[in-house]
Amino acid sequence: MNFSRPVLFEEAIRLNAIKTALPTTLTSRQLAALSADIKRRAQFSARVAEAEYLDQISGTIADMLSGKTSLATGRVQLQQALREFMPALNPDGGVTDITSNARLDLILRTQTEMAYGYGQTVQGNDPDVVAAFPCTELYRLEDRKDPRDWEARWRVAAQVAGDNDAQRVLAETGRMIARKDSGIWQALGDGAGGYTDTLGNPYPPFAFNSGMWTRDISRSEALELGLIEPQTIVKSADLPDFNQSLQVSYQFRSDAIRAALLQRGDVKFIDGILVPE
Amino acid sequence: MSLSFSLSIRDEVTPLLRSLPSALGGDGIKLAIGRAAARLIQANFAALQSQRPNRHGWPRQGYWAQAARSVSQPKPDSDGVTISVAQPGIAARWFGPTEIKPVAAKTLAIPASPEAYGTRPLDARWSGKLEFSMVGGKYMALVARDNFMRIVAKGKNAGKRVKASAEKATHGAGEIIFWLKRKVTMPQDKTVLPAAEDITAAAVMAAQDYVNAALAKGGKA
Repeated sequence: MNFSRPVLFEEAIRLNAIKTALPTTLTSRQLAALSADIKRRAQFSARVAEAEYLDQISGTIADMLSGKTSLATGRVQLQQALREFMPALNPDGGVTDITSNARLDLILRTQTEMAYGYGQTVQGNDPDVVAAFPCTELYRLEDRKDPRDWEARWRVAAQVAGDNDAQRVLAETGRMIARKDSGIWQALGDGAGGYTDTLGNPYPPFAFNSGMWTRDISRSEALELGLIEPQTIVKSADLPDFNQSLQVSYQFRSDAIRAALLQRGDVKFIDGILVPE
Repeated sequence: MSLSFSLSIRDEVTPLLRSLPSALGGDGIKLAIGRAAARLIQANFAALQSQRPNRHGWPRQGYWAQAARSVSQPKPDSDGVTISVAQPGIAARWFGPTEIKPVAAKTLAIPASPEAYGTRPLDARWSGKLEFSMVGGKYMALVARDNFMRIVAKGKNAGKRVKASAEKATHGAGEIIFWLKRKVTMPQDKTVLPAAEDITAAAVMAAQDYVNAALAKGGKA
């Protein structure tokens, strides 16, 4: 191996860069009801009505994705930015306090993990990569004190997606493995089975603070598991296409999000801030 | 500082490539090879996440897990592919021993208590709560000005330190929160990346899988 100059994780950084700041007074629960597409394209935080602060979040996340800064330093940066907007800080507050460490960590961790998850999934669905690694495994990367039952979620998502092989492999091996072109990944992200903590994406982390991640499964192993046959051609997953968005202007992206949100009928904009109707 | 390295495995893969139709010798096989290497690096970090709890027993920050997430596989180059790891500190460990000095301040702040771990002195939770001290007349530190925690008296969490408001806090005043050091040396740690021979073996297997897939499609890339 030869060590060379640092190379950026382009796909992850690109996802973070295209997001439009969306000041809002909506709660987390209300925001969770927005479509996944809007959530991918808009940078927002529940009850944060300051676009400049949202841009600061985006900038801090970009620094984390490029390895320039850590979570701890990023948190301090956001707290310092918040001092400009809020005179009283309550660092010991829980997740509902927008200045608390827990809240800021949740924002930074979720956004960076989503960017990394998107980037790795895009790369993993390159047709040449799919040829050698046609399947993906969902596994626990970080322990949790109270882990969610991901096997139960997997079973429901497999049923919704009609992926009998994914169910079979779990039953036979205890592992959650499916083809990259299976609908199970979107079903997991959509919270199939009624789960409301998901992020609406067909890529990890799938849900807030889940501790779950994915890894490639080789063609050899996929054959052994019976997920593919020797002549099987696995297609790349149909992922949201962000490439077109990179060509349009900032204003157009804002108008597109605005129009999509107003179609819902339960939200409106007041002085550029998204509020409940 | 992020870490990147290029993977060149021409010697192992070239004989295989020569036996294939020319359509299979392009960048596609390099992507597959690079993905295998990235997968192994990610798995190495995942293993470290499960095998290396915080040596003080403090609440974990998920450092190795984040390193696993930050592994990317950029575009191939003339000899192979370049893989990068964006997580700060990985390069310092690999290339160690690495001397780390402060950039934006005069000293580094090293956490000395579980409450300090994963925070900075400028963190809002410490605002107005720390003061400078010379410990033993020799070592610089930031200590807690007032009590900031309590010890749980009974129940399943008996003996545990928990955060407490100023009114309820009973412990912590004078406790060292951060050591202040002009530099630290991070030792070399080659275990942060898989062994080169393991990466090469994984890459060759991926190349074989890629070729088999292409042959199953009728020899087309």
